[in-house]
Amino acid sequence: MTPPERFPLNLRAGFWALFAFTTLGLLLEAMHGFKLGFYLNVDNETRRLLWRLAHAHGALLGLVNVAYALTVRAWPALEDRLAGRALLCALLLMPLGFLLGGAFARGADPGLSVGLAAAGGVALLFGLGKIALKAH
Amino acid sequence: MLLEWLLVITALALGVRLLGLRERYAALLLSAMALAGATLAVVMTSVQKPPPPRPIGGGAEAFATSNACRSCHPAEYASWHDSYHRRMTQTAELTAVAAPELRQGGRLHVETTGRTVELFGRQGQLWARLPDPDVTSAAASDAYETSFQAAPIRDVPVQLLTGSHQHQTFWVAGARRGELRVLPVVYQIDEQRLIARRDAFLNPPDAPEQAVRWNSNCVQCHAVAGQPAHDEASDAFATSAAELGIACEACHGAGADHVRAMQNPLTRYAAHAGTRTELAIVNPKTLSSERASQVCGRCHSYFFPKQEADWWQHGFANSYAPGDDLTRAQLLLSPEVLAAPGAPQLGTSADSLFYRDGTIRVGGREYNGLLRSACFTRGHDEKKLSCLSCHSLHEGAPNDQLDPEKLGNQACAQCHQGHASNPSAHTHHAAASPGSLCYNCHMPHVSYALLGAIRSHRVDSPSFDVASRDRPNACNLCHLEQTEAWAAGQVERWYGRRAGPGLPPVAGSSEAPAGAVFALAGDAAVRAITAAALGRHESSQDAPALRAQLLDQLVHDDYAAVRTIAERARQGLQPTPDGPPLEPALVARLLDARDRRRITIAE
Repeated sequence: MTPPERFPLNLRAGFWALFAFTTLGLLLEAMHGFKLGFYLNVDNETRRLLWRLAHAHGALLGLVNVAYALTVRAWPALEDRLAGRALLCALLLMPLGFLLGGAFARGADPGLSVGLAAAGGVALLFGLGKIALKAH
Repeated sequence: MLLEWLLVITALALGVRLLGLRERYAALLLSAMALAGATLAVVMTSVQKPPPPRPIGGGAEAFATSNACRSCHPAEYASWHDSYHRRMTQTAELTAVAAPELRQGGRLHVETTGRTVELFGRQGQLWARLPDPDVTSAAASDAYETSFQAAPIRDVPVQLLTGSHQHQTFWVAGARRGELRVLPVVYQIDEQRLIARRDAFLNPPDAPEQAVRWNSNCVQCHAVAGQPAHDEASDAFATSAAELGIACEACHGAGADHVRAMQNPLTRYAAHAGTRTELAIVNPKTLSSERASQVCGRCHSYFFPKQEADWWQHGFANSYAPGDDLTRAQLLLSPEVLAAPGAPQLGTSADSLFYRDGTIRVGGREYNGLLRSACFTRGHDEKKLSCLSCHSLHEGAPNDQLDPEKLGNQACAQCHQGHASNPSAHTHHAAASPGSLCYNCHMPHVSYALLGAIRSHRVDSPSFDVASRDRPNACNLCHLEQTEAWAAGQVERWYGRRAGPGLPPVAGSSEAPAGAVFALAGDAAVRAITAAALGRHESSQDAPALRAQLLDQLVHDDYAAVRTIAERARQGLQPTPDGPPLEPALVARLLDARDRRRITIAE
């Protein structure tokens, strides 16, 4: 009996991220629908911006991870363990940084957790750069 | 904060675990990520500054503030955001300061009462350097000048700004808890200059500096739901306002219930479909003419609170909300009311506020004029004049906020269609001329406000009787070179009614041009209004030599405000080779006959 195929982590994480951040998009739309002040009031402009960024980055980085997993399956020579991990790291830190930065925003300034987004951004650049070099 | 840190650390630990440290370059990547994250976090936290302390408290619970209105009413929010109403009161951040020099890091100063007052920016906030306001504001009003001249110089943060259209006024914390005192300087926005506050208003030359407190005056109209909260024993304040400036809820009433109800999308769409009409908010457009005008009249009138003791605590919070009957809360002032026994004592005379025929002459008090207009008193239902007959707060341009569909003669045409479709038949002026615009004859510029003249909102026809003699008539405000008798004769010829029992000549001369009578023999407000008329384009351009001669007189007037308006008018005047047309003897007689009542219009 053959054991069930274990799918690559980037693929699984990518789809879970798509699920999570599409759900977040739905929640944001609902907040518009119910005119929730903590999301829509003028004072909360920063929160609205950061949560929209979290939704967009989370969904897009989910797609990037799925694309990476499928690319490696098609061209195994492009597999790079650290680059793959960096993409996962970016998937975790960037949207989380925006989400927490918005949740803890004070006036026009995001919470300090927005620093996570910058760290995730560095991981993303690193991962993409390493894969690009390999594919060159 | 602790929760945020815990979440950040957890996320970082997960990230490190994901990356692992055994891979080549992993440590380098982690370091770069840590550096980028820490830099952004430090930058973000370092720009967070606590708000400066201000003696203005938070808002009332029933008020949602304009912050909550935008998400459902973006267009209305945008039009309000562009308005001067919004900027009537602002906290004194440099970005809200009208003077570009100050916003760009420069300094402005002016000499007043023998001392220099200087304004400058410090860490994004406006500051003032002046004789210590704690010392000067503690002095009795008749000792203010002595105290101002002797007090040590001090730097103080400016707390609030008033105005963004013509003038900007500055408020600093006073000596008593919670009070805000006015600075003795005003910034003139068009002229881009700082001037002494006493010169920015119509004040007799020997009038003492007025010690104005924001808490006991401006709060009632320049903020939403302002409550003075005055402590009589200590003369201190715990003033609060739902929102600074004139925001949505000033006209629509407290909105927290409306916001709560409208968070339900089903309720909103029922309201859009018209199946739900109880919206827990007031729309002045749906009120009767009287009640809609009272919404504006709450502030645009000369009034006194009927429940004075309650007002010193709660403002009008307990006595008026938009849509209510304003007469329960406010006593509208008029010469008759002020002459009655037990009338409220004002800091200024009835002569300063009203013409002898009861027409208000203070700008910004248009509701007083409206109530004396035949279009209001004799109109009914939809044909009854209201503020919204001409103005639209959300459609009009910020200046005057006139309804774009009711410009020119269109506002009057709503009722007077015949006159508007063929104006010349009624006006006896060319159709395209200023003389054929209804408001030039029926709403002349005879109200004084902020170094200028604005239209009277008492809509009436030019009259030439003794009772209204001290109010410049509409005809002669354009035809300044003609006599009052000439204008009265024209009116009688065209409209067939007697223009009055006949005006007695001023200074023994029936030949004096009306412009000379107003400019030389009028009281200070009339002289200011005439100076403005001499500089207006729609005024007759005839007799430039007379205009130049009158302005030459007015630039040396006793009242600084008259001088300022005359100087401004003279800048637009073309030089003329003709000599002064008025005989020196006539000028002297008119000056001798001058109405020397003390006039104070300090707002």
